[in-house]
Amino acid sequence: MPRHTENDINLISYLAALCLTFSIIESSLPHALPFLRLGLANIPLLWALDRLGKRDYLLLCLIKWLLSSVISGLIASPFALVALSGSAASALAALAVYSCASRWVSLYSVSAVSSFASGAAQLAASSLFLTGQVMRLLPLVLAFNTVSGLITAFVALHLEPAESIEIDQGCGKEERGRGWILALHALGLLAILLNDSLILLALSFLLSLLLCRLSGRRIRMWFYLAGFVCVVFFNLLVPSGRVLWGPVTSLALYEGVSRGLRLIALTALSQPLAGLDPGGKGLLARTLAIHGQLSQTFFSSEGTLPRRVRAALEQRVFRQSTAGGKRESLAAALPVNLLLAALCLLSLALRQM
Amino acid sequence: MIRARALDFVIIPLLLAAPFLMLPWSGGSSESVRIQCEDGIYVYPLSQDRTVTVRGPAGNTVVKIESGSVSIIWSDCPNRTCMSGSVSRYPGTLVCLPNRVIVTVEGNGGDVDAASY
Repeated sequence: MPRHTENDINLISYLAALCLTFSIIESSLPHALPFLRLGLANIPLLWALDRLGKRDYLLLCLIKWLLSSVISGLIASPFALVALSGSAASALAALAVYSCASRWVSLYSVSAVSSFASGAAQLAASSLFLTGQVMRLLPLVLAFNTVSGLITAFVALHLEPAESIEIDQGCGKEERGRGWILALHALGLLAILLNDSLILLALSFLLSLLLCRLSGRRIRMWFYLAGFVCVVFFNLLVPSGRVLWGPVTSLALYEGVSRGLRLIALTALSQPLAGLDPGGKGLLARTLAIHGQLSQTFFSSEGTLPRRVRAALEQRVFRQSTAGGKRESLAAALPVNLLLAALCLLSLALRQM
Repeated sequence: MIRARALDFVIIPLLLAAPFLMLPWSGGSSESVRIQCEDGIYVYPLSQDRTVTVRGPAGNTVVKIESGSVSIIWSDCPNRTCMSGSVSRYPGTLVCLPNRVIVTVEGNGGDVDAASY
């Protein structure tokens, strides 16, 4: 495997940082429905096609998925799995179309095909949690994704990233002590995955919310509520068990509530992980440093939206300074983490019985 | 790459048309088994194998759903005529009169099933 030069690493982390920044820009724009996204974060992936080799392109997609899941605080939740399948499908589709037919197709086709593939893969992955009924949405999702893919390509063709960038290396310091917190967190996740009791699941959701509060994450109750209701609704579409009232059947309701609780508990527990800093000078740390400065440029510049985006894209020099300070907030949550770990042991014991 | 190229005029219309071609297919006709007995109504998907025991005035009736068809495998009734045969599609019905159990297969996309039956 060829070694990456300093320039390669800079380019990959710059493009990955652009993905994260576009994603923030998109979520700062007004949108019709919270879950419908145009996918502006994919613009840098389109730029990457003729700038990176295949292997680096896949690496870029992986980093984009990883960091955007971590930053949005969803890394350990089922949402990350859905996003991963979407990212993988769209990366492979884009590579396939681009490398096989780049002579006969424009970026519009590449983008539309990859967005199409991503929609299909995401829906297939979410049918694992929401029952096969969710596949009924397939035509709607595919139509939306094709159009959004075309829009993404249009924007990508009308903007230009910086040709090359420079990074001022600060003194990257290795952070210590994260291992413990991560291990306790993993135990908490295990507790939620292994639990079948509704009470323990609800309890771990509440503990996870407490953890969010202690680590300074904003708690978006409507988000959890919407996720929960959505899971219950789709599970009720496949009736199973005693008819309680109208279309509501006992087993389907139980299954829906337990899946819904598991989803929101995993999501809440993922939130505090957003504060983790990879540390060091690697790809991830570099990406986060560039992303921070890009979004700062975007939000501090004035004028129309395209002007602000261009201002961010013109930035060529970045600094990598030592981060830190988030660790304390994670450590403050230690008692709750311990409680969650205890819950894990309890659920293991219950399973044994 | 900014101009549209030859294959674009094939790929993009195909992608735009695909969802509409899928519309009739995506209705999803999942059939379910409806068991009516003295203590209420139970509904289960026909596609999932399971055994259900319900109570009636004569005793227990055991309904088995297996590989897309449903049958009564045991009943505490005197003549046990309900234990002969199985049904696998709408509108199929199994009845155990003494134990007051009615098992019917229902189609989710009822209209289509009725038309093709």
